[in-house]
Amino acid sequence: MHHLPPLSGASGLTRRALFEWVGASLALAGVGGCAEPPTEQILPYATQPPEVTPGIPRYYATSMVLDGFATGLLVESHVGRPTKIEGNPDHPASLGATGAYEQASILGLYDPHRARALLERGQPRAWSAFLERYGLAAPRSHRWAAAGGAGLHLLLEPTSSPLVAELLGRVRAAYPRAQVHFHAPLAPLSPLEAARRLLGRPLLAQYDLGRADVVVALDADLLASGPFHLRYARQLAERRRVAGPTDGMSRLYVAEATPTPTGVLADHRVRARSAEVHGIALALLAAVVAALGRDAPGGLAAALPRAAGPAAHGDQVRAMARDLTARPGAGLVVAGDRQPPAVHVAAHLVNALLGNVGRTVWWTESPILEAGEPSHGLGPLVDALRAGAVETLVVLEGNPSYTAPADLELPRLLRGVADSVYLGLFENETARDCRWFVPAAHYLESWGDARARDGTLSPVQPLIRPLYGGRTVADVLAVLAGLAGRSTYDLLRETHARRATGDAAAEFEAALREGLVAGSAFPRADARIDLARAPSLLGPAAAPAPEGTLELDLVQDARVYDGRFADNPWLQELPDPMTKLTWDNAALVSPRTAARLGLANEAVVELACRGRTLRAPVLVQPGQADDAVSLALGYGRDGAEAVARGVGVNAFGLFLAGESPFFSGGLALTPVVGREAPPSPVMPPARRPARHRLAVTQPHRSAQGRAIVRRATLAEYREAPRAAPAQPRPVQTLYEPHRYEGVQWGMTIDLTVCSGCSACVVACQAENNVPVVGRDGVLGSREMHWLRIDRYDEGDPDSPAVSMLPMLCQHCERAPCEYVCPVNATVHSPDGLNEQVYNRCIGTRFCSNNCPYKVRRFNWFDYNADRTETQKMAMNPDVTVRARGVMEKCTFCVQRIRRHEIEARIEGRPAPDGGFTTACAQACPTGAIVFGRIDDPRTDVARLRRQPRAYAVLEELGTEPRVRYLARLTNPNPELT
Amino acid sequence: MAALFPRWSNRVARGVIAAVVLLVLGLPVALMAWVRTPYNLGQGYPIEQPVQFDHRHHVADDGIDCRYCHSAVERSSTAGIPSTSLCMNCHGQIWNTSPLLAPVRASYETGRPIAWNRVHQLPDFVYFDHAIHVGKGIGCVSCHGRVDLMPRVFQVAPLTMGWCLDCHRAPERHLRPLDQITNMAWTPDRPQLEVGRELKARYGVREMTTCTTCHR
Repeated sequence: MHHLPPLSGASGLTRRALFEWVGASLALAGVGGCAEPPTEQILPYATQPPEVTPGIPRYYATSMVLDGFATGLLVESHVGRPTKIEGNPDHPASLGATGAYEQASILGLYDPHRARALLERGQPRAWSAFLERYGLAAPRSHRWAAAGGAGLHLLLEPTSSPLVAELLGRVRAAYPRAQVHFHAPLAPLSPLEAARRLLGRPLLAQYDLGRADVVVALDADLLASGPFHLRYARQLAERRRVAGPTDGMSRLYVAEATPTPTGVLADHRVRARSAEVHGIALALLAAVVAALGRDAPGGLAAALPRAAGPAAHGDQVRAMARDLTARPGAGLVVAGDRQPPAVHVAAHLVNALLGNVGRTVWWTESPILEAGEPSHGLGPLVDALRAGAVETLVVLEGNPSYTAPADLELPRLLRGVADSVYLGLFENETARDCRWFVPAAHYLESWGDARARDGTLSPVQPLIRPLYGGRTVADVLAVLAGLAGRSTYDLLRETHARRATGDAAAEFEAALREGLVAGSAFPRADARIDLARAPSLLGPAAAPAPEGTLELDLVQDARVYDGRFADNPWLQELPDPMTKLTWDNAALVSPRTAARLGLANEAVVELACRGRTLRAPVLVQPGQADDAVSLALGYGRDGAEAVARGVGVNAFGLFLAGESPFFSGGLALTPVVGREAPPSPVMPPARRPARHRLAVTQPHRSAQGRAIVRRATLAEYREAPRAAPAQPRPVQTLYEPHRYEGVQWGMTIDLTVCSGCSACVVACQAENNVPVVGRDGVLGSREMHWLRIDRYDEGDPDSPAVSMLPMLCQHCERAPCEYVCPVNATVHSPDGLNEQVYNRCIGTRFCSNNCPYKVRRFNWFDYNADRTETQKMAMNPDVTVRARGVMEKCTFCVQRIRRHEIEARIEGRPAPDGGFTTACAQACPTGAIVFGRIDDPRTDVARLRRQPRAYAVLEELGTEPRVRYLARLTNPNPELT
Repeated sequence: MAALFPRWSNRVARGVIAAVVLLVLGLPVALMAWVRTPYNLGQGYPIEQPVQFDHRHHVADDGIDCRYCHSAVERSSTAGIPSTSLCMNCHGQIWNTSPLLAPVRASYETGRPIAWNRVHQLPDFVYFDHAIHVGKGIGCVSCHGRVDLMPRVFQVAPLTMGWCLDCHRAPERHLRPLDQITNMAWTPDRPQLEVGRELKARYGVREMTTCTTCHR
């Protein structure tokens, strides 16, 4: 007989008393529900700014800067509180679109884990204490102040800001021997190095995909990463959007290891390990030279390095070369930033030989300060740190303790510096290693400027005063330069005035209003390729890796970038565009490699490479190059960011300095065997492969034989333009048809240009107050996204044809959800919207069960319950914040429709005539999503619906959706089919 | 064996059963009735405000138009509560030492807003838009009552969904010419329905009863 030990502290409570209390609490809980809501207060302005009208949002132009490159934005502000980010249509880097990073940055502003206090060794200090120590009057206590700055080192992120350049100049004038370094792990150094070798100057290549008939991307994710990806995506889409059978399409070849959105849109995707891309580039160059024959410059063919073995993917490369040579001046070869300079040289040579230079590609100065100079990179700083020559190190943003190559041991070196300052948004890994910590201002709180990739000068203006007293890079540099008394705003105006051609104040105002300085893009640089010298820069192509050896591939993450957005729950919960993985990173392997090594999804493996090891779960990724193991950077964070901590594994542990830090051969992969608790005490603990559950939102990619995504080649489409003929069953119904009157809304989604980049998903989340459910929620299939992107694979599982299908409420004209709601909480509007009425919904979930598209989302918990006051500020005031127990789904952004309808009707127009669109369509870089009136035959959406390749998903069910998809067209090379 | 209970206990038992039945049926009815009482709806209860602002005096005695202070009403979803600086346009000159206006002066000097108590409180899932209502011929008085006769403002209408729908289903019963929107005492010279139908056609007023008209 076992006696249970008494519960500690329970002796005073009898069973009877317990039940009395339980009963009383239950009764009181009921009474609590009767309490009236507190009387709300209205706080008008004491002095209302003349431009502000409560209830009417205002838009301000600003720019978001990533690794030094600006993207122009328009930010929506409700009585001084920014709530939504849109692209600036006039800005060359945006063209009106935005990416996931830009969309999610609004949540970053209100992040409750942002640093709030200026600290010295963890103790709060006043800004004045910092000023006293580092301002020009005081730093006499530092030896470098007397030594002309020797011993003072600054570490910045790459910057293109004229203001920062000016302030750095002043710091250098005061301390000529001070040293400035720039570091960002994903900064594109290799292309500049290639240009320096090939052209003699570190120029930046600029592309025009709109003029290219044939595009070859060599490990270059042109459409979804890099500073001009929104522009390139738009340009490519314009060349591939087919309006009729007579239209042409450009052709896209992509060679890459792990699938990217660019690879999704490719007509031919070559699965190549990253190290193989060099060989492909050389083979392509050789094939082009051979194809040009006598037209090729003399001696070039002989000077080219010979491939060490038989060229892999020979057929595809030769077809690419023929395609390129057939269209001289209208082709484009782009090498990716991760590839070594030799690959860029090869790409440039192909472009030059085919006369593409000046048409689809040209060079300008790089907008990045000191681009291509040795100050970019951590080498000199690490040398100085190791030599003990650093007295004071000022780290301005970035997170070098986390992102520096692991072999440099920067955290240890940083901790060894007696006097170090770190300016950052979070008390992250670097903050821990520095003596002083200064909270940084978010870009939506800052004055500043930056340049876009093409040099366009773009102002950064604040939408709100710093929430936590943050400072900018310019603020801290101004202190070091002895300008502490001057506001950054004044300094910015001065810098700007020096460049002004006329009325400086008016030009500054115009720049702020438009979000850019008109005509400030850099002119084309006059660059000559020295063809005689070029072959020596191509390097020997690496010998093909022996069969069965693995390659480690470190990739930029589509969600957290280099880790800086890891505390953003929207991005953490955004399904990865390719793998659909949330809240984690994983070692991606091809199905064949997984089978060879006996690995399955979620098995934990130990990656050993370059003398370092790391444990990560495996995720099998169809389309992955065989024997290449890709792992996203940016996870496994260990700072004070509570959301980011412990999510995923830190791939920077395998990131080492060198010519190609992003990939290397010689990876060993061993399954980790874990000890699992036995099911009963008599059984010994089992040793079985350790498992880490991965929160994937779409576990399989099969359409189960249904024509959910309709695909055709351009040739097939020309022959039979109609999308696979629909065979809707005659639908019999007892229900009266809906009464439609007035304006009718609809949407089309062109699958030909949807790359799956997922900007729309975050845009929808931001616009519609869509909550985040966390990793456990996703594992329980409770994610709340109103718009998701389904991935469907067809064909060979190793190298499938991938299609992306944005799926949202289809606003069916015969909506299955409406028939089953017992309380009429989902009904139809006369303008064709399927409406969801939260205050009527009692949460039976019948509608969700009856929805064939599975786009309805249920609030299992009160996801909005524990929002802090600052987090509440991120909410869109025009959309209800849903409570527990109600169903929700896409509304076609009905708040925007009604707002514009009201505006139009007050002005006496019967209905809005465009001028707005849904959040997803507005963000979409390629313009795949089009929303508008289908009752007016002149609108874009009405024209697209009439296209023969328009179809409705699951139209055989007779739901008659208001969302129509345009069949996916590809333009494969006939030689290769 | 003698009866355990006296005879009258039958009556008690019947009474208890009747009471339970009444309670079970009556309580929901009573609750439903209660939520519709003016008390629960906040109808007719003047709200205390931090400043004893008198609408009757400003509107009836001084003849100030509603839109002088609620200036956003024709453009925005909210009519707008005037900023302190607007109060001081006049009260910087007149009654500028009145102790009743001390909170206003304090707000003006410190820049801290005056915290007014909301009188017309709609649930958060209701998106009412002033601009379209006054732009299509609904007068202030239709919802807010005779504010020009209220020393302290109180809620006149029940502000229930049924009350909203009464008008949304038949707007002609409340329409008035656009130049009479802020006139508190306007009455039609002809029968209201006749005027209303005419204005409904002229202004293109629709019967908006689809859910997303108000719930988004």
